[in-house]
This record gives sequence, structure tokens and C-alpha cells, in this order.
Amino acid sequence: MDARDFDRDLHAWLDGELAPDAAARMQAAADASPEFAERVELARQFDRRMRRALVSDPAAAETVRAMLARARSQPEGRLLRLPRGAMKIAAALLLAVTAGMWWTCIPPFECAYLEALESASHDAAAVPGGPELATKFDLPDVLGDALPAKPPAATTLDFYVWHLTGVRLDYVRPDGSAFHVTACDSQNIRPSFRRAVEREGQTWWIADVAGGRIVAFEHPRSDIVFAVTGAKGDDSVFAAAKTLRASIH
Amino acid sequence: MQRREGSPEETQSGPAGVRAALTPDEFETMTAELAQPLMSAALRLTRRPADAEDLVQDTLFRAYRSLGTFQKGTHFKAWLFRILRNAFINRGKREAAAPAAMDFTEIETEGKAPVVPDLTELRDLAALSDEHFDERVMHAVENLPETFRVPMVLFSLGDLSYQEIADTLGIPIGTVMSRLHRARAQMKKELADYARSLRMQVEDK
Repeated sequence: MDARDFDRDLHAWLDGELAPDAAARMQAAADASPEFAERVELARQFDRRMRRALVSDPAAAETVRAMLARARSQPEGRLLRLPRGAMKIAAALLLAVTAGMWWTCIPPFECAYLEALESASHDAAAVPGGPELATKFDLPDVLGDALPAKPPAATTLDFYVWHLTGVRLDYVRPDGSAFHVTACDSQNIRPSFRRAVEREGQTWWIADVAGGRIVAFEHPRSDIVFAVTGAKGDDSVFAAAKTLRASIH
Repeated sequence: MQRREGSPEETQSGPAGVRAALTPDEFETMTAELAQPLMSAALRLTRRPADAEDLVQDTLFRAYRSLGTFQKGTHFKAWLFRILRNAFINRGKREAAAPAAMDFTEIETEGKAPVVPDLTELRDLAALSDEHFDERVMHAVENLPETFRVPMVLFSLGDLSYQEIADTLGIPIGTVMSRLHRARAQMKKELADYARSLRMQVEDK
């Protein structure tokens, strides 16, 4: 074994990383050569001094203890410490899902217009005094077998940046059940087309909103939107809306 | 190659491979005992005290979050230093972990071994006072290219075996052996040159 081979494997041997046969060759070479033996001793000394020098940091223990305390106080923050890539993907997914729900009017992103109509149908702030509006919106005096519970009330539909003027009139059937009719002046604004359905050859907006069923439609020759609201899932609401629509001239 | 004592495979304990996870208290006790090598390794890797503290803090956060992945009886120090090394890489120093992309790979594959140090140089080095040795060896480690510095730190301060370093860095064990050999050779050369310059100064007087 020459000096180059011996030097190449010397530290691996001292590190205990050589296979037994290679280690035995190193040992034999060191035993046979005073120079190799001296190199072994100098290498051992170098490693010992290097390790001692590298770890001589008297303040390390205190520093690490403080860091451990900080680290322990936040181990539950793991969700907030996701890799940035994962955070970005999660944020993008959340945004996409939210946008999709809004676009398709999936709760809690129901169509804001229909929500405002439903809210106006039982608006406590509505005030009597809407006969002129009822006339303007052409609300009938009889709707099937239901009669209006006058007087009509003036109301306002507030959603997003819009504030639409409207009127509400409650109709009572002979059996005592009731439904509400709301009409509003809705220039160039309509409920979401995602809530539009074709039924019996006509276009309707139908949704169950805030515990109530709402069926809306637009006047064929103006910007008035009508809505009939009643109990959630009540098919008679649609029947009333169909009657109302047929009565509008 | 032999495995050094303390490798995960050697030190697994418990019947039928059943091993318990580490509790936070146990983790803190074991980590506190490794404070000096941990801080020193971070300092040798980053070369700046402020960065070293950030790196250790990041390592401890990561270690806490990964406590469930460590099992008693395995090599705790190797586990912690692997986290340290990964944290170091994630701090924007990925070049340190790219074995195939380093300049020295070419040298390694061409088999150009470092010059065998002269015995006189080694004796000069050994004659250095502790004060001078300690000062210069810090510089010598920090002057190593990252390709050599990272395995050197993992070995000297992390007590990782060659195989554990190879697994951590994703390089063959032979490359680990070669890089540690070259790292030591470079450090010895730097220290020996320094020792000779000191001796010449004394002789000039």
C-alpha cells in the first residue's frame, strides 16, 4: 500500500467506515511503517482538535433552550406553516370553488336579487301607501280564488349597489292560507340566469330562499319583475305565479 | 463499508418493531444536549450567526411538527441533523444539495485525488497552539465549498454515519467518503500553510 492509498482511506478507517478486510489492511500498513503510524496519530489528533474547536460555543445551550420554548409554543400552527406551494394551491382551489359557488348560486351564494325579493315579501319596514304603485304594476284585484289584503305596502329591494322601488301585496285564499306578491321596477336588472328555468313554455326564476319558496318572472313588455313567495316547497306558489302572469296585460 | 454505531437500523428497539413516538419533553431534553453541535453546525453551514440562529429555530419548529415521525430507539441526532440540513436547503441554498451539479463531481469522477500532505506539514499543523488551531479551523470549514462543507458538518457535528450522510444528501456512499477526504485535505492544507507562515514569522525574528 503506497502513501496515496493509505492517505485516501485513513480517515474513513479512523471513522470506522471501512469494511473489515480494508480496515485490516490499513492496520497492517500502519503496523509495518513508522511513517504511516505517525500519519495515523496525526490524523486522530486533527479530528479530535477539529471536533473540539467546532463545538466550542458556550452560549449555544442557552440559545437553543430559548428556541425550544418558542418552537414548543407554536407546534399547533402546522396548518399555517404548510409549504408555500401547498398554500398557493389551497388558496387557488378555495378561490375557484368560491367563484364556482357564486356563479352557480350555490348557498350561501344564493342569487342576491331573489334574496332581496324574498326579504321584501315580509319586510317589516314596508309602509302602507302603495295603491298607486299597485296600479302602476298592474296587480290584480283577484288572483284565482285569492283576494288581496289591502292596502299594499311600498317597499325597497336593496342588494349590492341597487335600490329598487317595489310594492308588496298579500293575497289570502278562502282556506285562510296566504302568499305574497312583490313587484318592482327593475330596469336592466334581473335575477341570476343560473336560477332561470323553463316551465310550461315560459321562463321563471325559482328558488327556495331563507325558508321560503319564491317564483319570479318579468313583465313581457316592461322592466317590471314580479315575484310570488310562500312556504318553502309549496307548489301552490308556482300555481299562483302562473295565475298572476296570466292576469297581467 | 461498515455502519457506525447509532444508525437507525442498528438501534431500533422494542419487540416486533413496535416503537413509541417521542414526547415534547423528551424531545426538548434530547435537543438541549445537542445544543452546541446544532448551533455550530448551523453556523458552519450559513457562515453568519444571525442566519444560523434562524436556521436552528426553523429546524426546531420543523422537528416539533415532525415528532410523530421519530421513533424512540432510532438515531435522534441523525434525525435532527437531517431536518437541519433540509431546512438549510429550503432556505434557498439548494445548490448545496445538488450533487450532480457541483464542480467537484467532475474531479471526483476523474479520480484526481488530493496531493498527499507532507509529514512535515502535518507536524507543523499538529504544533499549532489550540488558540491558533481553533481560530483557523473555523475559517477552514467555512472556506470549504458547500459540496464538501455540508457532509463535513453532518459528520463532524451531527455524528451521522457515511451511509446516513449519503441518504440525507442523496449521493452514493463512495462520494461521501471522497468528499470528506477532500474536505479534510483542503482544511489540512490551509492549516498547514498557516502554521508554516507562523513558524517563518518566528524564524525571521
